[in-house]
Amino acid sequence: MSLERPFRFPLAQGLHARPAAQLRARALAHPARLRLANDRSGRTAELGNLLSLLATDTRMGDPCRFLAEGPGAAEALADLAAFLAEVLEDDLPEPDTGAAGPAIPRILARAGRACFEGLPIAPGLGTGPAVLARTRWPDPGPGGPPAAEALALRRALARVQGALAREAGHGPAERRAILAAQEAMLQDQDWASGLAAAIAAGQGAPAAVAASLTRAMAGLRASENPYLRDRALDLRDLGDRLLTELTGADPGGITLAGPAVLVAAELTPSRLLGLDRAKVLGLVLAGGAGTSHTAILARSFGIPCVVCPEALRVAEGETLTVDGDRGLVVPDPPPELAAYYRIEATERRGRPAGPGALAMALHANILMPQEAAPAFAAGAEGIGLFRTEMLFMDRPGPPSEEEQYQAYRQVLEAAGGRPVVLRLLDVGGDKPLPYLPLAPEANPFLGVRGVRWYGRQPGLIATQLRAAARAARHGQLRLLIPMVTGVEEIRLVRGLLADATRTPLPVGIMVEVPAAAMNLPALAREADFLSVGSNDLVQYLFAADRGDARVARPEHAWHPATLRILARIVADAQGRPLSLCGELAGQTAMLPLLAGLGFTSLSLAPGGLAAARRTLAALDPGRCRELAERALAAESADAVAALLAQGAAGIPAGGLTDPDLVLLDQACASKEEALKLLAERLAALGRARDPLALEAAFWAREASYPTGVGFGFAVPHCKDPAATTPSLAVLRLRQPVDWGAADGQPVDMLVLLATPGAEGDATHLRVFARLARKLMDPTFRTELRRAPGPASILALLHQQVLAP
Amino acid sequence: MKILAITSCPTGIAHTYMAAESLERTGAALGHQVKVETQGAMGVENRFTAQDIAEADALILAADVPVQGRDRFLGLARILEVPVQQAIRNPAEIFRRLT
Repeated sequence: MSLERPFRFPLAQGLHARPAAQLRARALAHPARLRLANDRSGRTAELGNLLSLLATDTRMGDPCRFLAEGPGAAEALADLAAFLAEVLEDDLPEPDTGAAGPAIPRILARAGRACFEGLPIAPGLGTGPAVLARTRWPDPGPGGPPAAEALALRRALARVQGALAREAGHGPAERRAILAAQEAMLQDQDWASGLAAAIAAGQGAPAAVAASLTRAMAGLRASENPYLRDRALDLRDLGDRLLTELTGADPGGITLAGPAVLVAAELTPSRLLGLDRAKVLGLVLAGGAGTSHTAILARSFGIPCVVCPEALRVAEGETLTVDGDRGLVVPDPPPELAAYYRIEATERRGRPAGPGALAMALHANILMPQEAAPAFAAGAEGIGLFRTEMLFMDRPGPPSEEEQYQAYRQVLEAAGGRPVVLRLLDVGGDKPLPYLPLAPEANPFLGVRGVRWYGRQPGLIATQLRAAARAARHGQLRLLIPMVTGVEEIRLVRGLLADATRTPLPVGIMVEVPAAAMNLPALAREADFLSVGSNDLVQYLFAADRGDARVARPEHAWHPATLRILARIVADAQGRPLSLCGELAGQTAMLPLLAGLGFTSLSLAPGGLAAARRTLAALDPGRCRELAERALAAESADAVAALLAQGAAGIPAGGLTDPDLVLLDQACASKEEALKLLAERLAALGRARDPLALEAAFWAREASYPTGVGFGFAVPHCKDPAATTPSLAVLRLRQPVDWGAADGQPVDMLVLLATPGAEGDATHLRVFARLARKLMDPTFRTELRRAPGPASILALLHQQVLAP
Repeated sequence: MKILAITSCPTGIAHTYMAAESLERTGAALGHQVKVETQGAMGVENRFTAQDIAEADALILAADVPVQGRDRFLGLARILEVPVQQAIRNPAEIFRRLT
């Protein structure tokens, strides 16, 4: 009789000597013949042989099998499974309360499942079958006569060299450097003679090219130097070109039959662009050159992306969950994981603001038309800044009117009637275009950029205005002029617009040069709306190049000088719609100040919308104004930071609890889900900044000993800065869950207490203490358990705990 | 009996007070005179007086963290140390062991 039991190797350190010795000892107790097969390394070992066990090169996450033959095979396999569970516990570090803690969903540890930890590159969550991009060139088979092969190679080399030379003539500098490196390789004599020798020895040209470049790439990848490692991708690109020439087929091609998670050692941006994006549910990369550009694309397309070399050994077709927020790749995800993520998604969707809440419209900044739909999915109320430069950059000539029209139309259609602010081309010395010749400038940021060249070269901008006017039929389009300092610039653009089209469109200005802020009363009379560009405004205000870390400081953002110019802009806006776009809007710590200064509309990167909404939900308008007043009078950025740190504006109006903090008859399948739900709910109500940190704080307390107190009750709690507001929540479960308590009693009533533990918090602590005592009263417990709805629970809490 | 108890737990915001309540309720039901000093996040509350300690027959330390002022009880013969959770879940058993 022969049996087997598949598993994934669970130990973070792999099968090292200690667990191997334990495994051997355990196996020797059984009469059956026992073996370990590692399906990744392809090696099999007798469990009784320590050295051969170590030689299986078994690492965390490897697909493995225990094989058992002979008497007692079934019992032996069961015992080995138990061993795995024990040794897993043994190998795990102490319960983690630190920063690394919240990254891995607790539910995975509970399910005893391993996952791969990588770098989060593009946010989002995707689950689907793995499609492995080919990492090796296929075997091209035997070649023909050496003379014919040598001729074919010479022709292919010449053609590729010609193509490289043509491409090197234009395009961005980076791309040119890559092409130059490939040309240098083509001219490398050693390489050429190596190829010739291989062909003379009877190898076909494709095989010789593949083998020589594969060797060269392996050498580069083994380098300690990240620059050299990245050059391997260039050689791969070169090989793809040569093999395409030689064989007539693109050897690096990726085809997706259906929706899938794409796993690729390397992925060039052009390969990603060549895929049907709707089918790419997630992306797992090993890193390498082009990562950042590929990453930008992945973010634009809303494709969750993780860089994780270890995850490349998953099997083709295996189901993977890619968590682009935490940077995790989970092979064969258990169903509980989906439930856990569902809680997260539901709670983060945002909640309608209550009466008296702060009014702040949140719009999204985008660079590419493809970003619009994901931005609206993330809850944007409009596109507050569509930077159109990307359409114009990295190409030898400008996009045609038709191409621009299609791009703008795509954004307007995604907006479905919501407003879209299109910023007119903002290029110049700081963002040069090959087809917009400008004289060299000593200081491009102070040179001819934005609106400043429109009058000198009106053709480009006229085309953009025509395309925009055509697209405007598909939605609510507004035009935004960059780098404005004077009314004549607004009149110039209105004139160009009138020449280009009879369609009247709202025209607004960027307020990003201090002169515009100081001259705002006049400008606001001419402009239909105003948008503060905080990045440039701060750079020009402090005369500090924002790309130079020696002079540009993050604290310039909340420096009193910045706040005063912002206050002046609000005061001088003349009732024109006013918004703020730029990095400032994306900093949650700044939101109370911006709200207090009187901003009612912000535009930020789509990824920051959820956090901004959470923070805003907790703000009290009156307190924000008070905070802004004090900050405007502060003498330094440090003094403002101190005011912000006091959290003067961060107490929700609701007090210690809230009807939304009473969750009755919820279907949580585990303690993990229950605590997850509570942490997410507190964060959704603006009572915690980071739900994962809060969740970790609850678990850190559970690690001392579980908070089950008997009678089906548990009192999870934390005193941790992750909670920004003292909060009391009640969660009543439909089915009891195991709480891990010593007495083994399951729990179906949770009373949760969270406090930042700040000084002077005695009032809330006293309420918590009173509640804790009250829970020892059987009548009170029964009343909580039987309460028909949240209102009666709140009434109970008010009468018996909050009021006295 | 006149029984003193100190309750104290790691965060000091929940179990300290549940244990105190539990010992007070059960002790009273069993006919004892119980006074509980809580050492929690709000500091020491309901602190024992010298007279409390002089008149006490026994002391229960229901604490998962070191208690403050242990040297106050050097003269006391009967001191019972238990985990906080036991005071919450099974207080009657604690009193049974004392009497």
